[in-house]
Amino acid sequence: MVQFAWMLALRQLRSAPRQSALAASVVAVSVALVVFLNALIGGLQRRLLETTTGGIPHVVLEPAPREPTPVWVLRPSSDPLYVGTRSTRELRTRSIENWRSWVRWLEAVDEDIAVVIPTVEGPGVLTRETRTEPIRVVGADPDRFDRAFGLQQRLVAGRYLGLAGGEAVLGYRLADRLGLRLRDRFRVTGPAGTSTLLVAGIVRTGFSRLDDGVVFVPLRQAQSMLGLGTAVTTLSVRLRRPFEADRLANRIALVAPFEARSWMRENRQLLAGLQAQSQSSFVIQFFVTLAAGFGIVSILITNVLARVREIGILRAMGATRSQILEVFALQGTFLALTGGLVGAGVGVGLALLFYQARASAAQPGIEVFPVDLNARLVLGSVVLSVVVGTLASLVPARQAAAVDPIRVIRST
Amino acid sequence: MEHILYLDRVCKLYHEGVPVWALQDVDLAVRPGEFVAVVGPSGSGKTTLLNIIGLLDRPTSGRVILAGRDVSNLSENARSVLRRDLIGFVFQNYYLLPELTVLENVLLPLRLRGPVSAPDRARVEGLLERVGLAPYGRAFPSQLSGGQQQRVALIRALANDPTLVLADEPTGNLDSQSGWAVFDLMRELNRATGKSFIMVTHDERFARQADRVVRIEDGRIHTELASRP
Repeated sequence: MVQFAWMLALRQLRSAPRQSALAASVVAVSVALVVFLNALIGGLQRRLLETTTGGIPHVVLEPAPREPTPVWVLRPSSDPLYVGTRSTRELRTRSIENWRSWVRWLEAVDEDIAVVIPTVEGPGVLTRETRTEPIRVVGADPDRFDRAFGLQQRLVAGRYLGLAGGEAVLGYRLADRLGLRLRDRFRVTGPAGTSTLLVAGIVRTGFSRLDDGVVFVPLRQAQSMLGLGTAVTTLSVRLRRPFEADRLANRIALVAPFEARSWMRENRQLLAGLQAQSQSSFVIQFFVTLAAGFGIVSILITNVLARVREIGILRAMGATRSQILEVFALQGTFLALTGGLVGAGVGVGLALLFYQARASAAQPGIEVFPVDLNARLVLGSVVLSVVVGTLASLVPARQAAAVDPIRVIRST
Repeated sequence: MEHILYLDRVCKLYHEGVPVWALQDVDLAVRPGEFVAVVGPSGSGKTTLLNIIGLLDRPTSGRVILAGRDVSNLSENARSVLRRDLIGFVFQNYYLLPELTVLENVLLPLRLRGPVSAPDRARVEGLLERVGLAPYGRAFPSQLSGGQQQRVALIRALANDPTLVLADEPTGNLDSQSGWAVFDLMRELNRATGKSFIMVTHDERFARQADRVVRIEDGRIHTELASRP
């Protein structure tokens, strides 16, 4: 059956090369557009996402603020109840004492968690000779911190991994402003007093918050500068899939005594923008695909009309309706597959050319957003084109299968 | 089996504005190996008769028994399968598929059943050789003369080893010489293969060469003449 249908389908396509090429081209153009558009938008979104989440944790866990328990919540008991004056004082820095066990718990609780970084963060004032700058002190284990944010790779000078007590890494803008160089010394005054630090590295992260006003120190150093003892202020979580942040934050907030902040909740506007962009690109692709489908329908209908007599003869010879249907559906499938493969190639080529053209025209220091080409996009577009092509060809194929052999024979 | 085909009071009514009886109470029996010519004026119902015998059309009433089986009211699909397996068609306009080679055209009825077996292929190639067209196996129909094309169509009709071959004016488009060549070949293959042939023709000279001549007028069988014992 298939042998007959394939043979006839391909022969008919070959006998009308221009028509076949036209149909395949319609598919190719649409697939190329889908691949190109997706690569472009995907790349743009990936870059926006990196810019947004590259320098921040996906989920930040802080001790949940707890007010003193109100009287009316206290359980009635037989013991006399003494209620004093309710304290209105706030904790200056809420901290997590038993963070080691929480890190172990978190790393086992969800497979999306890539790394948990116990972090100490607090305010400080940097003094260099007569100049002072307000800064944030960020203390973490350099190994863990680097696994999440890749600080070592972004160093302009010096080192971050293996940072020792009394050493610090600064953002390059901060260092520039204060004229600090490698191995220079400066002072930082925190809530627990003043420390003298040595510039061990200067980093350029591309995130202005980090480059402008952060001093990175080892965990212990920060703890002593901020007077925290052995506690940390936050547990920073990096995820394998950033878009799982909301789910994870909700989950942790339910089962652990933390206030969990997800990056998604704090970047609603950006996410809404990305979503709108995805939706509009989907609409464009939908109509492009639809147009390709109509293209195949109209070209194959012409083909069927030109071959009504042949179809009638085949039916007279004993070809069943489903065999005729198969011939024309296969034509649609074949045209879509050919067009899809060519189109995918053209789309990939266009995306790469576009990227290169932009990269070579870009000003130094400004990164061109990448194109997001992946096997899933390319194969998916080809598969989509085959599905649409086959479905579209069913319209003319059904028309062909309905040809009545008697009318064909009688009309001659 | 005495008859390969048996028509029992077959009627066909067309509704084209006004009802028209294309066939009325047609009885016809064809023996295995018999060569029957159907003649009659235009519009007398010859082609309708052939379409009903060829399972392209259904009778309004009456029975059609083909190879011992009542086929009058089979489904569309069942009729397609029977056409493929039991019947070979030869048309006035040859109707070869232009994008297939001669060999592919003659193998087509077999391909409709599935992969072509080596013995089937050899048999069909033998038939092509017999009619002198073996050298044209790779040629396309457009490269052949009308007479050659009709001979190819004849081999195609025999490819599926049918019980019955139906020919609708097979010589109608050919000059006298080619017409006779095709007719002689049909007669020869009829005798050699033992297949029954029913041929619709306008030409009395061909009809006279048949085993039996059935004359149709106004949808009825007017006379049946056995031209040979």
